[in-house]
Amino acid sequence: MDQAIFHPKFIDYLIIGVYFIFVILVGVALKGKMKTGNDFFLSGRSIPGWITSLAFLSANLGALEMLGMVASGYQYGIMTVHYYLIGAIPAMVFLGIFMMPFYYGSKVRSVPEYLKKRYNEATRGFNAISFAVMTVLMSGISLYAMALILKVLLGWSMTLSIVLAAVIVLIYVGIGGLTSSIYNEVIQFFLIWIGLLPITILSLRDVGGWNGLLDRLPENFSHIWEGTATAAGNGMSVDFLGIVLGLGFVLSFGYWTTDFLVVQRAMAAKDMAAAQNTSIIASFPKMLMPILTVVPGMAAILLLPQLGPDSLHGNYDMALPLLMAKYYPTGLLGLGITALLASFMSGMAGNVTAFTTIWTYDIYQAYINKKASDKHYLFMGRISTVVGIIISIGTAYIVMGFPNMMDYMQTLFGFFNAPLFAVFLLGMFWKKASPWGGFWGLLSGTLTAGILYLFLPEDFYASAAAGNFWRAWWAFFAAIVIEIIVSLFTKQKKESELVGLVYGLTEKISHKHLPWYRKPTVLGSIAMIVFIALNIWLF
Amino acid sequence: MKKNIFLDLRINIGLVLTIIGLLITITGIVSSPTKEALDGLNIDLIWGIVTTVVGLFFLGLYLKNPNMDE
Repeated sequence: MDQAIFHPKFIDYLIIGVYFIFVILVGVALKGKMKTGNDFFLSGRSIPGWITSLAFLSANLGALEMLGMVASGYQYGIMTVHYYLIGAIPAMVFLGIFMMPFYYGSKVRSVPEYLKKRYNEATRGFNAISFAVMTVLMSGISLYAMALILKVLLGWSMTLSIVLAAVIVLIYVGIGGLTSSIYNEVIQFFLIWIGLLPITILSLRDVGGWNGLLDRLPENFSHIWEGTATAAGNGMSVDFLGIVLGLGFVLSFGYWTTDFLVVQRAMAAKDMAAAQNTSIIASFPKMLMPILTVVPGMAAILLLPQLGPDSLHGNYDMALPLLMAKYYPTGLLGLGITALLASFMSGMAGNVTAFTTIWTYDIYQAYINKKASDKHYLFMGRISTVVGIIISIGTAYIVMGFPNMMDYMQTLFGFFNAPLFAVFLLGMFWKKASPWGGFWGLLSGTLTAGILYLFLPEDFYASAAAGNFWRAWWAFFAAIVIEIIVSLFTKQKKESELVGLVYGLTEKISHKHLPWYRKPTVLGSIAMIVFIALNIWLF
Repeated sequence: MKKNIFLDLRINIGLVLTIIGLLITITGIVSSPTKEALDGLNIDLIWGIVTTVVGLFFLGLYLKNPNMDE
């Protein structure tokens, strides 16, 4: 089709083909290792730390996030790096040092299973069902968005893209389970860097380097804190309090510390130190990611001045593909498209593996068939992979009919984790939090988020970003208050039942025998120092 | 036990990048395609070589220590 943005030639398709063949080979190679449910859902807890770290990071590197962050760099300038700094690093370090000992140490297989041990069956059920529904819908939304973007970029029909991606993900996840998903996420991580770095280099060359770029942009596009004393002082329309409490505390901790999609990667690590280091090591490449997203987004302000909020061909979200079309000749274009396809598919694979685990362990085993053999659960894992993908395809087609639904769902899921984080925080650090306190805290926090979303007028907050930050904050706050009140009036668990689940009742882990570069506290401190230095540099 | 080399991530990353890198390098040498915005820069040749070198680096990591004992 003439309308497409990219015009790939034979060699580009050959490169894409090489990648597809490898993805499937990895899945097939792993088949022999998937003997038990533990292998399939948790990779047998055997993966080295550097691999789980990169997978932890890549699970959050879907192509939609990439395109969205480039678009945000175009719209808001350098303030977008908050999503990579305060919106990620403190939470990732906290997860590794303080929370992972409970997740990994208690040998739970999923986030809801922790809730069952710490609180009760009702809390687990509520979280498992809402997470399963959300993940499978998210997977459908990404599938739809991918098809839409491929249609604009390559002129492929949406049905072709949806079916092709779904079948490939089905093959490698269905056969190789979580390990296959993790392996592909790591391969994707390197493909993204190799495939997108030339965009940053070439666009910086054209705008006169990093300093040249900052000189040519408005003042409030080149500082991350300076304009945040008031919401009006910066392009994002949020003040520093909104950034710190909303993004930095609630949204970021909620996502990074309780979202099973990412936490599952750390749970697959081979030992406690590797599990703890998973998110801490991942924080270093996370701080480098803006090089691939925010920087080209800002350069695009000068290089592609005509972008706006509307039509897909000139939409902000198209900033990255349009830069690619501008600079990548045949050959390199194949690599660039492969990088995007890889990140689309591994995003979907991540959702599917998380869904499969929660469905099999926390819904099927918990409520439908309690006493089946391990072999049966492994079989159920494979079946639910197929079913999960079929539901995703169905969702993709529904969203195709009602495109506005995508915005609603993305916004709603954006602060879904905030109340869950409240429940985890109290659960892990306050031994008096009672089982029903946890349940009512989670329920009322989630309802608060929903009510704020449905009933506040659209223009109540100055910008969409500010709305997300503050809604997340209030949902978190409601969950904390309700949980504390209910806990004071309901029966608490005995201390003996909470060993290994709550801080203070659990033996401290000693890492004395490890060299310094494998100690979570040392690595975490280095990450925080780099994080603070970057904030000062970009102030 | 027979070891399947595709189980080792270093092999997978190494092979994918080396093969893709070589394909791009060859494209750069044979047809040196270009774009207006590149002012004659043969980016395929340059980045093809970079990609191949990174790929070979991962294969080298494997060859140095095939059994992954850390």
